Amino acid sequence: MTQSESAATYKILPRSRLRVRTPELLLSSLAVIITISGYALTSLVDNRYLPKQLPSLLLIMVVLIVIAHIGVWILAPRADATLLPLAVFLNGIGFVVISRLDRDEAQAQALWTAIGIFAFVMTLLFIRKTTTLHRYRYTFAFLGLIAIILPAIPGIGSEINGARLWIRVGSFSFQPGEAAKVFLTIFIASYLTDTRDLLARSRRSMGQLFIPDIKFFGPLLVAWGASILVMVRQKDLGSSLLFFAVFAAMLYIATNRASYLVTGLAFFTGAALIAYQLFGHVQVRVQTWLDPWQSPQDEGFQLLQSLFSFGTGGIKGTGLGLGTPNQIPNASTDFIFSAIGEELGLIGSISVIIALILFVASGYRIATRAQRPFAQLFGAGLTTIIGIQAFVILGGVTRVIPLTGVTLPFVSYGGSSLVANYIIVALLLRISDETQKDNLASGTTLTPIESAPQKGFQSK
Amino acid sequence: MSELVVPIRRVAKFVYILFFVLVAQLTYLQVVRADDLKNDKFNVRTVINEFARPRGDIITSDNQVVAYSQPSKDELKFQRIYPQGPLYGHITGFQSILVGNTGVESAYNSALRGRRGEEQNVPRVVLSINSEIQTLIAEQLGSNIGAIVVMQPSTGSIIGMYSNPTFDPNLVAVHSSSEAQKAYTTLVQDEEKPSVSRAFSERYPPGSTFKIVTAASAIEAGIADAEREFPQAFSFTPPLTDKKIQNFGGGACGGTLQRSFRQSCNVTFAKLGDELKDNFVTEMGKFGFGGQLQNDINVGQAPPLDIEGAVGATAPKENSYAKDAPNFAFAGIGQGLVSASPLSVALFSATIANLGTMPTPHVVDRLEDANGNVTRRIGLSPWKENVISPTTAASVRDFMVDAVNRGTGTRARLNGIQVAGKTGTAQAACAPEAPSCPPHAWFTSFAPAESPEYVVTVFIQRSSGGALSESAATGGQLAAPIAKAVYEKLFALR
Repeated sequence: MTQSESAATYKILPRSRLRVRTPELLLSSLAVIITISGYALTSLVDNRYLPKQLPSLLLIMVVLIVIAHIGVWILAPRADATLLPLAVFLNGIGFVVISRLDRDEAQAQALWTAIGIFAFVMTLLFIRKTTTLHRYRYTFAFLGLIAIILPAIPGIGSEINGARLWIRVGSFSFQPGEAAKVFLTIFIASYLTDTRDLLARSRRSMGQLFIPDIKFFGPLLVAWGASILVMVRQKDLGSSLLFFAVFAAMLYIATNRASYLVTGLAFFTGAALIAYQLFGHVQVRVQTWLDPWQSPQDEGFQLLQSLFSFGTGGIKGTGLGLGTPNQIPNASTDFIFSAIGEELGLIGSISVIIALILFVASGYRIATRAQRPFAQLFGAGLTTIIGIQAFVILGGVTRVIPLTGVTLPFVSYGGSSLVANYIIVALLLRISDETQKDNLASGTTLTPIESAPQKGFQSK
Repeated sequence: MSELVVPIRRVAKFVYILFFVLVAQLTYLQVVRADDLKNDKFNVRTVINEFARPRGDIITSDNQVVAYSQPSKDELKFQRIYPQGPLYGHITGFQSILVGNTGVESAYNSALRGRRGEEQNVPRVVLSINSEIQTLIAEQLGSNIGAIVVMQPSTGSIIGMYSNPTFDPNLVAVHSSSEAQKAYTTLVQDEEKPSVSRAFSERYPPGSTFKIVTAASAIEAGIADAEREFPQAFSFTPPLTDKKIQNFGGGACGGTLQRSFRQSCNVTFAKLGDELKDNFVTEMGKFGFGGQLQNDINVGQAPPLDIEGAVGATAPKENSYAKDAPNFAFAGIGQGLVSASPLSVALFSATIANLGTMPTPHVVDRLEDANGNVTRRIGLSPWKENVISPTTAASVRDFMVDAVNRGTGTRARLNGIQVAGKTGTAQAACAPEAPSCPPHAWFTSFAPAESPEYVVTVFIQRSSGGALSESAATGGQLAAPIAKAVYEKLFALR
């Protein structure tokens, strides 16, 4: 109802900045209601009255949503209306579960959400065109590599849970790898946009197999290999896996050649085998994955506790605040999904997955609709980051794949990740808005809302 | 439309497939495997939730509270208290977050924990144990190492069961995991094994009490009756060995089977064991001795006691007479490969008392709701029926009456009530470096003999008196008087 009404409004005032982004506002309000209710519930378990912080929390959330909303309204008025509410929903569910696990972390997460929303608006404000990013690709490549190397430098980097991913300034720690994934995606998208024709056409034939020319492929391979090596050294297997997958996906998209996927897969298998031979912690991960019951009290403990969380939750869940997800070490970060599975059950865990699918679907829709190749590739890359990162951690905690620690986008406790993900939303919205602007300029009369159902590629 | 669209859509589809894999796995974990995962022994969630609710009391049949929950200030919201300390340790067990629950706390956990949201109506578990009998048997055992089992033969209800040494469940049930760990380590490392009930979790040679089974087996197999005469002899030498089996004290004995039983004549019963040959294993198997090879030992099915830890009784291997004949003679006098817990001895005594029916032993009588309404009564069907014929059982019963009236068990004789019993003085397995080891003293019995109400089995593994003379450390001297004291109390209470 509201959708068709606003679509109608779009037609009447196609260029006006004063269009009301009603769907986005309504969806965001829904996310706020879910969050506030969840927060009240977790508190009601222990006390018989509503938490004192509830009104202030509500106020903070409303203010943040309004700021983000006004930001989009002014800076990217024609952008997709679903991404921001989905991010707020995931962020809100995560916040509720974190507040139930650890009140201090919840406070920090609220602060990081504010910073994330600020970064979101700032990104929209400063990145007015995707071409800006395209232009400064080498700067971003440089920043990305710096960000990856930084934690490995003694004195700056600090180790948490056996992985050197953090830099610490005073009591403030930050994970520059999260920024690196955005920077490097900019570079890769940009580089591939420039060279994709060459990459796709020039290749040497070696028997049956076609191998791309090393001349064009080389720089990319070096950048990619270096980042993966550094990450493996920092014991950040999850990020390595993520980079591999995102890089392979972008290369495939740029060239439309399955041979790159085959080569990528071969590389990945090789790297995985080498890592298995070289690193004890990789072997432990794989063995734990194959049989967590082999060492239920030590190596397998965390994964088993996660599986028990899902089993104990069952279909309906124990109810917010009524389970014991504190049993899982790192429940608020890597294992937050297990906590959701325990207290909200299959209903809750599938809801989160649906939200992620919707987010990823919106992301890919934005990418396919973009006019410029860079925007397409970049949008697809950013979306793939969210999708693959979610799969790496969700697959890890549900024992689909060996466990590697990455955050669940928007849901896990962790400031750097949250800020980086809000920046990704801003960048996707920028692409989306730009596409609509280009369409209007070229006389296409598509509106974001109208076109969605017909053009959605799930329906194919 | 740009040429990038098609591969983007393919990548998108791939990512959707990944998400559908997750949905499938979640369904598997949260629906298909949910119960397995929920009840996995390494999943402590259920236990933590249990600690957060008041737990039902465990009380004796005469309403003495032996376990209750008390609100505590730590994060596990209720502390389990065992007001009687070590007296019921092996029966109640303990509720522990560290090592899990044991005893009644484990076996009746689902009843005790109650239902979420029904905190006002916590159920309680009523034991068949009588607190006065339990206190008395603990006193009677004193500092002797051993165990006493008091049972109702018709129902299998255990009225008293105590094993010394025992342990205080409060020490392990404390919430502080460091204290609990320390107490638990001390407990399991103690060489006297106070955490293990000698009443049902350990096997000992039953000695001459096993002559009840030997006599019943011989009559059932048709090789002897009460009147069969056995020669007076000083010893019996089984085939395949030159090791003589002598009578207790070294004298000669013999005569009828009844007389041999009354005098606990080893020569007669060793000979019977030898004569029964492989049939002996079949016959004793009916009493629960042997049945399955475990680590090269022929172990019987454990008595189906309602709390965990009961062990089965052992026998010589089936069809092994041809190469292991001496062990059949030794089995005849309850030595060698034959071993049983005091509970198993009480159960074969109950089988004689019931004229052939072996009851299912249980320590819990009923479950009640908070208002005292019975929600479940532990009325169990017999464990084994027609173990022996009623006539065989009656014959053995008469032997046991005779043994108490004018044989080795006279110290258990009561005024006005006929006790049927059998003494036992068993050679114990001895540590290699020990100069000598005291024998185990046994007395197993039931009363009144004609319509048995109670079975009392007394087992003294090691007397507190230290180096008693061999004649003083017998079942008749040491164990029978304890049984007598227990009967006096039982019949006074009635």
